[in-house]
Amino acid sequence: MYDYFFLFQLAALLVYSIQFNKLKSTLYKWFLPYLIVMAVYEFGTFNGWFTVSGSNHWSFNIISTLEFLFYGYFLFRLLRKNKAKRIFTLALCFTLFVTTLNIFFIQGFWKLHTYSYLLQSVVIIAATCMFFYQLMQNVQSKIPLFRNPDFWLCTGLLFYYLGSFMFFASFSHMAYKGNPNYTMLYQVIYNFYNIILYVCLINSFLCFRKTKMLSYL
Amino acid sequence: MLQEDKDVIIFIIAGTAILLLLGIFIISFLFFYQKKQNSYIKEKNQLKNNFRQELLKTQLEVHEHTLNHVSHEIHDNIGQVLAFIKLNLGSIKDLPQAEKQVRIDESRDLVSHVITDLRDLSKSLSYETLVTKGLAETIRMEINRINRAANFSLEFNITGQVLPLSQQRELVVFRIFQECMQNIIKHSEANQLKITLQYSTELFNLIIEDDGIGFCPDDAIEQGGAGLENMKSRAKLIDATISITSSSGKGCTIKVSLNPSQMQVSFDGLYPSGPD
Repeated sequence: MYDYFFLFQLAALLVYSIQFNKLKSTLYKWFLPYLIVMAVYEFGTFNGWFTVSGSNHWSFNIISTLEFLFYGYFLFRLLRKNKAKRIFTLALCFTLFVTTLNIFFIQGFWKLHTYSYLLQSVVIIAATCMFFYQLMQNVQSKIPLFRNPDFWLCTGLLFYYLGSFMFFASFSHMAYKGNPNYTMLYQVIYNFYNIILYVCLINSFLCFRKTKMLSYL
Repeated sequence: MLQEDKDVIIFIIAGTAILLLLGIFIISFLFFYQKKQNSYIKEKNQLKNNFRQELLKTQLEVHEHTLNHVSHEIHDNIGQVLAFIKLNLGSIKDLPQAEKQVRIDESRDLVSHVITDLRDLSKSLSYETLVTKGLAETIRMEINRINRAANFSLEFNITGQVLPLSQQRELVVFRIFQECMQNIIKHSEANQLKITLQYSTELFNLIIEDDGIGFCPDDAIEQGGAGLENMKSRAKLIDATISITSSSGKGCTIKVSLNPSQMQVSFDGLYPSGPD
């Protein structure tokens, strides 16, 4: 059974395709390969392409790290102050190092890298907050927030990583017990926050209909 | 299901809900903040526009006042003298040679007088004078003009070293001065008038004192004295204060004060002491 959010993922890809001409000259051009990879990954996951010995955690480890790097790069480009960029770059490098260490030496390649995933969540949440702070300082902007694609992207990321934080924090403790309620909770949380993320991404792409932001040109 | 697992699931749900609320709070705060900032910017622009509009109005009033003065001068003075010269020269042909010469000399003197008047008139185009010669000189010229026409004695003093205020502030102070003079001429029945400009780096004062019939400022405002209200609002526009001291039978003193150095910092040529 497919998760509902997959439909929103496809919708995001569709909206992106429609808006492609307006997006291709912006930083958002990187969303095309990203969305395709994510759609293929989710489709493959539903069809068990990546299942090895009853688990696809290894593929999640890779895809979540790629996702972290992708959004990390985006947020890096969105931050304007050199000091913020420098701190964020250090945090990215450190997190990547911890993730590698965790996947290969601590939790292992075949198990979900929850420790490093939590660290990734904290870094992304902090970066979105830094971006929001930057937005607050740049109040002279005539473009309202709901027309700002970067705002929608960061809102989606904030909710996605905030929402999945508690679930992954308890994953090591609960997941391997085979508790059906926990699996259901996973379905609800994972679907809900993915839907929020993709709706925000769709909004972000739609912002290019009338306004072209200069910040990422 | 074990109680422990149940507790953990409840904890996850509660924690997720709290984090969701946190996210909602952050986004709402951002929206609220931007909305507040936008309304602040809008208000600031509105104030700037009002200031510009008021300044333009003041400028137009000064122009109007100048044109009225020019029109009166042409009609009452130059026109009359030229008409007299015309009569003088019209009746000259039948006169004996000696008297002819007297009339011609008289007419020549009158023409040179008219030329001087016209020159003075062109110099008294107040706004341009204000821009080129500054407030003190323009007030001096205005006083000289009034002095010629009015039937009261006028004293003008400047203390301290004359400092240029910004063009807008000088325009507003000059317009207040004109309005005061107009009121004095029309209503005060004064015999003596004293005008003082006090300059220092920290304080500029324009003091206008008369010994006329005086009035009660509060009553004047209550009776619809738009002039006084106008003066006050204009003074406020340039961060100046205006005090009117008067009572029935005891003349009137009007004092306009402002801090030139403070204004130079905050005024920035556009908008006084308001939000930047």
